[in-house]
Parts: sequence; C-alpha cells; structure tokens
Amino acid sequence: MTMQSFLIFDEAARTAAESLNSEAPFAIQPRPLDGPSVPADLAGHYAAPASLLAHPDYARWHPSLSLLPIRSLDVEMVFAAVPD
Amino acid sequence: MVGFSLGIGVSVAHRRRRPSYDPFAAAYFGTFQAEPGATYKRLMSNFAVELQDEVIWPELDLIFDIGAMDATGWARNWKNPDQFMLAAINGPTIAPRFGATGDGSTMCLEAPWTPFANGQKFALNDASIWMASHANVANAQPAVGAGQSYVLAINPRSTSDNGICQINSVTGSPPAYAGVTSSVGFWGAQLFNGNQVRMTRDGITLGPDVTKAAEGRPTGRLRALGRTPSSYSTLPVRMMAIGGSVIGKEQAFAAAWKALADGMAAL
Repeated sequence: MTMQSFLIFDEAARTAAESLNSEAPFAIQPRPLDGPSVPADLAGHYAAPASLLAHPDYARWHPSLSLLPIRSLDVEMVFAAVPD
Repeated sequence: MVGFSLGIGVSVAHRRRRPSYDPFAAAYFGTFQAEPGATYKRLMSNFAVELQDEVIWPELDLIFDIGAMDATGWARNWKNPDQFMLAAINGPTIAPRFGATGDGSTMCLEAPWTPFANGQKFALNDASIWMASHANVANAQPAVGAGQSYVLAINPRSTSDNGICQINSVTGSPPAYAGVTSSVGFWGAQLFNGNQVRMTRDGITLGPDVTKAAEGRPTGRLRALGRTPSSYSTLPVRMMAIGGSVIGKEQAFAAAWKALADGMAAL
C-alpha cells in the first residue's frame, strides 16, 4: 500500500488545468482514477499530486488548484496499468 | 612597407581571442537563462565535440541533460534546443547535476516526440535509447521510454535485480539480465540488424546480445521517470538520449558522458 495525497479534478477542472499547459516547460496532466478500487464518489475523476500547490514552477495554476479537494489515496488501488 | 606589415602582425598577435566553443554546444547553452561559466561551457563543448568525433552526434535524434545547471536547460534538446523540449508534468523534482525525480504514480518528463512519427535516426531495425542515473533504486517500471502499440524502455534495476530493456517490440518477454544490484550508471539499449538487442551499463555489455525481432515503433511520446502510456518510476534520471543504434560506440558514448557529468560534479 502506497498512500499519496492528491488534488481531485472533475472533467471541467481537468480541462481548465490543461488549458494552461501551453507555456513549456511545465505542465499538468491529471491522471484518470481508473484502478481496481476507486472510491465511489471519485469515479470518473482525475488526480494530480497535492504537492503542486507548493511548487513555485506551477504558480500559474495555484489560484484554481487551491479550490480543489485533496484526498489521500492508495496508488495501487486507484490507478490502472494501461496495456500496450 | 615592411615596417607597416610588421606592425599589423604584432597587433594581431597581441589581440586577446575569445574562447571558441563547438557551435552545437554554443547553440544549446545560448538558450540558458543565465550564462554558464567558462569551465562549464568548455565541458559542454567537449561533450559535443567528442560525440561528433566518434560519429555518435549525427546518429542521435535527441539528447537531454536533465541535470543541466540552468533553470530550464534540463528541458532543452542539444540537437535542436528549440525543438522537442521536455515538459515537467505534475511537478517532478529537478535538481542541477542530479536530474529529475518522480513520485512513481503521476510525475514524469515528456517530449513531444514519438518514435513512430518523429524518429529520424531512430528506425525500426536500427535504434537506441540511453539514460543515466546517479541513484540506486529498484523499480517495477521502466525509467525511460515510450509505449502504445510497441514498447521502448530501459529499467536499469528491476525489483528482482534484473536489468530489463525493450526496443521496438511488444510480444514475448523483454531481454533481461540478472544480477544487477545498482541502477547507478550510464545505460543503453540498442537494436541492430533488425533483431539483435544489446543492453549496456557504462559502455559494457550486461550479457550476450539477445535475438528479438523488431516489430514496430511506439506511437506514444517519449518520457523519463516512466514511459507512455501509464508506467511510472521513482528512479531519478540524469540524462536521456535516443537515436540510431550507434552499435560498437557504447564505450565512447559512455566516456564522453562521464567526462561531462564528472566535470559538472566538480564545478
């Protein structure tokens, strides 16, 4: 079990975050919560590390990220391995 | 007339010449946000010259020093600093002289470059991928590579102490070399003659070449700290390069990299 703290994005929040990705070399790509045991209220949601909130290189996202919920999740349960 | 000519000669002889650097290296460090010192510039120039002398430089598509000593130098491609820049996705830690570290679940570096669509020297039957790490961490997933349809990957040290690589294939087990107890070093996976795979550490082969036929090039983007589409590693990655096989030049490439990395460590 590997627990990590994540910002939780719904579809609209994910789209808004990724719309700021145009300025390289920093980007946010929330990962789908599609693993074998995702909490029911997080189905269809996405996650990115909560540490982004304190990361100075991601400052342009901070106003919107600070409004998102944070959850501690088991990465082996909430993320699926996508086959090639 | 004779005196006039001598006068010009003396003048030229005493003019202080600016140091000259390899033009490819100069183009790379010319993008740095802060001008690097003379010793660092010389190290970068020597690295580029050495790779050209060994005819490795023209056989590579991309070269990244993720431990570059500059705010955004880690993202720049030495072969063309304004093309195929890396993006730091989801906040990996990036440190000068050390490289990038991810969380093993969401963080990575990604180049807008796929082996299938963008590979020039990286061909179906003749290809290579290179990486370096200063850390010893066993991982279940590869540290660099690309996926989707076919796989390109290096995992220097798996959780069962195997060095594992895969290059332009997807069926069957990837080549694995037992007894790898450290991921520290300069690692390469090369595919040559369409079906021969070689894995090296610091220019030395980990074992006999493995016969594994090329099937296709991945269509996903190239990543460090994992590979597309959804594999993530916690092994810190210091450098990454990709291109043609450069078979037989592993030791020269490793030596050139070591000179650069060791020189930067001493700055």
